[in-house]
Amino acid sequence: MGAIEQLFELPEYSINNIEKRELLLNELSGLTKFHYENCEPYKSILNNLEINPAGKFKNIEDIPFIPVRMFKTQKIQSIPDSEVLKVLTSSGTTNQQVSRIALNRETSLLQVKALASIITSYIGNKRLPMIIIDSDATIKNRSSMSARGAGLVGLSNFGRNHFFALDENMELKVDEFIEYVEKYNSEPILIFGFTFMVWQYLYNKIKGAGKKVDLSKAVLIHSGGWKKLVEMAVTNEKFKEELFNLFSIKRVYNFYGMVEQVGSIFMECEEGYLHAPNFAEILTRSYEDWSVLPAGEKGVIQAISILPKSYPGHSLLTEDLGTVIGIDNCKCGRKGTYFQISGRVPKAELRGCSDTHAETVLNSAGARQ
Amino acid sequence: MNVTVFAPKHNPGAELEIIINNNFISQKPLPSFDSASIEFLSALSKEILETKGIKSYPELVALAYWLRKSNIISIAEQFKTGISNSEVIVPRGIAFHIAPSNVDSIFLYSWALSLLAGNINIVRVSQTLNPQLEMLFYAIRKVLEDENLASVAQRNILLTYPREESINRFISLRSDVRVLWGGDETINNIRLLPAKPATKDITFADKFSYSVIKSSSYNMLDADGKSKLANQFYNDAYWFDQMACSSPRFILFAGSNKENEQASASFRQFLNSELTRKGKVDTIDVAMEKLVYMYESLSKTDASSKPELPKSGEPAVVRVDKSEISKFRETCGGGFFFECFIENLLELSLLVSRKDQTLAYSGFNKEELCEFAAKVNGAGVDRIVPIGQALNFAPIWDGYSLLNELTKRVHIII
Repeated sequence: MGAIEQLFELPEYSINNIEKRELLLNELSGLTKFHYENCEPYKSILNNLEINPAGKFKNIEDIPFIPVRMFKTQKIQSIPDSEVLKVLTSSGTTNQQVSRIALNRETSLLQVKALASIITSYIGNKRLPMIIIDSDATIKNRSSMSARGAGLVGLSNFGRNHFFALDENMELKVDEFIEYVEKYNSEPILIFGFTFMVWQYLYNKIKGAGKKVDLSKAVLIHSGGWKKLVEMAVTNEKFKEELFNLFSIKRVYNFYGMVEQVGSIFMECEEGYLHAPNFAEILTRSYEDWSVLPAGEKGVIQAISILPKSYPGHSLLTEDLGTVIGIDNCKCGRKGTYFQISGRVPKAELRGCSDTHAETVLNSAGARQ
Repeated sequence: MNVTVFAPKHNPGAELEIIINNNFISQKPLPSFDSASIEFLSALSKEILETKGIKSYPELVALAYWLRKSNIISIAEQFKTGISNSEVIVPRGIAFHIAPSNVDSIFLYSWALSLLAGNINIVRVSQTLNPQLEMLFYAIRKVLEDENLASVAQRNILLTYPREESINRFISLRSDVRVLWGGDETINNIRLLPAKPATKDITFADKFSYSVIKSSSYNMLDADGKSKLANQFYNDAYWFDQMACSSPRFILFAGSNKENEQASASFRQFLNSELTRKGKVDTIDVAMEKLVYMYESLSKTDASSKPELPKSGEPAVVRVDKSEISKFRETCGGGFFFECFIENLLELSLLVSRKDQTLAYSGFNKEELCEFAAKVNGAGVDRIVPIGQALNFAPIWDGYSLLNELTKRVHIII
């Protein structure tokens, strides 16, 4: 059995890290070689850094990374266009370039399988009635999909009788929502949405309307980043506490993931930590010399995944900051690396004659030029 | 339409039409080279130098030196030598300046020259204020409190507002000259706005600059000489986080391959010592930019030597082949350089392009440089200066003789 089959075969979060890294290393070495041979920009980087991908890498830390931003500035893929099944794009705001991730059938299937393995370990194998805190307009075009759309489609596989709780203006359909909850409340309901949208369009709306809705049996899975909520002084703890107060919901799981590595998401556990699944690993690097940091030290997150077969996204230096808390010894019982995310690398504000672009971006929310 | 005025008086919620009202628009400009203008610039020079903490901003110290009375008078005198006795120099009228964002002192040079020329000035500065700008505005306000300088105070406004077309349009329609600092996008946007039929635009577009070192000469320098050159290069490259148009993005070494290798290694070593001495470290955002730009560059070239991943405070350097110079025009600043080996200056003359502004050199003689300029023949390069003087502002900038552009000549025939 190949490494990848073993990683799928074994129960999620069950492998101790030494064994897991050995399995990952086999896959990652192969992926590095494959992408080197099939993706010109990637090959050029490795050549210039004098990294030879012919053999097996010794340590997971030796697997070369590329900055995740490169998917925004260049076409980076390892398959001919004819084999592209679909293209994922990140949900960039005005004036920002978006990531472009080309998937083939194999990568797409692996993503689905990996996601299933992770999510079912949390909610079980049975499909649950599902409320999606979004509008169905978000997923209308299936061949070119935003990160948000891809997330919704991916997660919707774990539910049935899907109910899109928002209309096209992002307004909660309050009455239908309450009706749905009452109808299915004898069993667990799966709720999925983007963190900010759950807060703004569900929590605030229901709270503002003075309603009380019982979601004590429900599971909420949410993702998408904390930036907007941090600005509103809503921490993860506060988020969970407020949601519990309003809905009596106990099972609330955040996950960290990115469009460049769909599928191998990092789910939050009951202790509030994010966990690397069987197919992925997390390293943190020092911005001072880009060396790997030990657990406990905050650094730039390097996300590793064995799923990307169609583009060299198996080892990415993100622009997120975080800290590895420990390995194999989380109180929740899950094996592997667990960590926390603590924000993003700020946007550089260098002085200059010609940096009007930065200002344009800053002002784009308001007046147009 | 609300604007924030920084000088002559701080006013955070001013109404544009009240600030730039008919009285302001219709006042008579001061004569060119009026004593009040010279006094103002000289007083500003002193005020800046007396500002607490100014020493940590060498670019502001340089600005203050440039503004001192003797230098301003010598600039005026030098300009006047080119005027015939049948010409009288007069101001153009109202000048609208768009300062580049995030640069503190650069726009002050063109403003100062415009003020010296006698123009009435409306200066739009960046929305993002840094300590340097705050310091400068404070100094300007303080100097303008002097009653003897009331004539200057009432003819100059420094303000900011969001990038709103309506405001730019309002001011454009009332301007006789527009002084536009880039980026290119800003310049193009403003130039699309109507002005008066005779309005003149002076544009400082995006530019590209490099340093070139003659390796054989460099290799003969002693440690002191090398250390001095590193210091001068530091000033060129780091004063504005390498983001000024005149900051070098490329470092070229000219000579045989062996000479270049030797010079490059030694130059790097002395520059690193200089950076250590200056206590230079990178913030995480800058470190990230340097890393991303390095990978972006490496993905597009066959680098001629293995680059080191950038360490905090150290320069990030990617060596590229001379055939690829034109491919690498974008850098992130903060100490990110392309390095290239050439045989001689003439080889470089073939690689010059229109946007090239400053060539800062070390080790070449006048003959070689003149030959280079003649060979380039206007294809690019506006200034050739010794390393260390790349940021020294001169009244001739980007190919403009600024006082010429900011004044009019009345021709008198007797």
